[in-house]
Amino acid sequence: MRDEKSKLIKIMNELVRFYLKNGIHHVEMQLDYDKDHGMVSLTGCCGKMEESVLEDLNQILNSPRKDETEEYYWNLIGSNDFSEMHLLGSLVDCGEVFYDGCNLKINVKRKY
Amino acid sequence: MENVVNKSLQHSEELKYRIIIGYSLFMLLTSFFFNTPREIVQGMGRIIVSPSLLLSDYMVIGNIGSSTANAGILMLSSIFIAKKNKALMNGPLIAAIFTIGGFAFFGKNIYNVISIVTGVYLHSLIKKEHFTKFLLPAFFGTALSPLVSQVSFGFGFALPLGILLGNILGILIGIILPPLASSFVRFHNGFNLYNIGFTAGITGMLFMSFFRSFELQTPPTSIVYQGGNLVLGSYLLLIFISMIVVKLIISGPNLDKFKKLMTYSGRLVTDFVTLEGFGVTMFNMGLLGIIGLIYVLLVGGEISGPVIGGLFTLIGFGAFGKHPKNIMPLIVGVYIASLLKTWEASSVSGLLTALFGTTLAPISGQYGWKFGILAGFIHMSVVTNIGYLHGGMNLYNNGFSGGFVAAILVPIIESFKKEQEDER
Repeated sequence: MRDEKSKLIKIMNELVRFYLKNGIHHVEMQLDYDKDHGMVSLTGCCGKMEESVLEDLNQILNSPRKDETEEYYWNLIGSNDFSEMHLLGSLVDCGEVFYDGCNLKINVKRKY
Repeated sequence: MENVVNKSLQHSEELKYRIIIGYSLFMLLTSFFFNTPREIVQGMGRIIVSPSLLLSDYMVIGNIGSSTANAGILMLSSIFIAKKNKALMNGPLIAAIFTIGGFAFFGKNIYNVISIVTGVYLHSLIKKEHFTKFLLPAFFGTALSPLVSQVSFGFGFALPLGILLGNILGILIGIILPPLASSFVRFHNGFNLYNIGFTAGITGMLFMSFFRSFELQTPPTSIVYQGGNLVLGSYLLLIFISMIVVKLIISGPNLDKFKKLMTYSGRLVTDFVTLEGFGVTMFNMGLLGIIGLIYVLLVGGEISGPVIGGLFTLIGFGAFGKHPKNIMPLIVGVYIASLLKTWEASSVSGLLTALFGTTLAPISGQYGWKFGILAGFIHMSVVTNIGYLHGGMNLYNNGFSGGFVAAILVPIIESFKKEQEDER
């Protein structure tokens, strides 16, 4: 369970990195650490987002968990300047992407 | 709808498993092409009791047939464990299976891998986590299997004591490797594909320091097969070409996905099977094997057990980060180094550095070919200077060296890149 907190922090860092990289410089964050799962939500005001980027993101966040890579590589996410969104996708169970033309909201959920 | 998707996924998983099992069976069954069953069993016996330090070519210690049989058995055992734990046959797992197969030609055998895998399994029990999460450290962690063999048969202990001590140390290594591997990956930020090589190097260095403090030394070892280029080259070429044929059967001749695959930097974690599909990944693997083989023959090298290990690791990581565009600069860098420095490109160490040096492929993938050449050039010097630290007990010596090279180069490149970006 100790690692779970670290993993959740790293997931949040990776998502913040994604926002900043896409020019979203004001981000609201919420982290819920519950008994059997954790949730991270981010909202930020942005300009135009490419449809393909949002589709890719949605697909990545909803790709199946990959237990094989989790323990070995989870330390790589959210720790430097390089994107690890695919790795993030393998660490979360599901995700939601909302974009209304102005605000981008991302929710991800990870079961322990 | 979900059921249909699950069934389709299950079907494609079955296919991937069958194909990788096919290659493992091919290795096992073709061993009889090289030697008689009796010779294979006798060779296997010699392999098992060999200290297996770098470089111990099992094709000399045993024979060609027992080496290929050893590779087949270890690959099949790995697949069995993966299947039993419901692991997905993705890039990292394919890389691990082919790496084990490759090193079964010079260092890993059915005896010396067991205790390390058992240790990692015990780690999963202690952590109360499913073993699937630790499959990669378990498989790649067998890099330190010579330590088990050396303690069992090489240090001169009475046989029962040696076997007991060797296996206890193997289990201990298995228990401590997963957290170390997970932590050390940050040292090079995923730019060294053989992350366990770095972890095993540090761990091997620790154990070797203890051994030396008790006056237990490992002898310099260089047992290398020679004179089999025609037969072994044809054998390997058949395997590599068959991978391209598998792609044609699975996904047709279209190479659009391959073009996309070559745009990835290859930095950890780049799973080509998940990103671009199994067919094109097999194509990439076959192509990398052919490139590696051509290089070995062009520089006048000999195909030995370690070289086969290098080629198998190259094709394995063709599913997990390597492609022609990001490995070529590394190989060129190593070749240039061999022209200017004291090592021959055709020597075993020159060949192994060129093949295994592609562990740094993400550097050229991320920063361009010039930095790839530079990384290869530097790597050639570092790799030949660090083997002493672990006394030849870490089979992934290039992964050990690659960790240092990446950790030194990447921050420097990043620093100047950021300054240029700031100036803009």
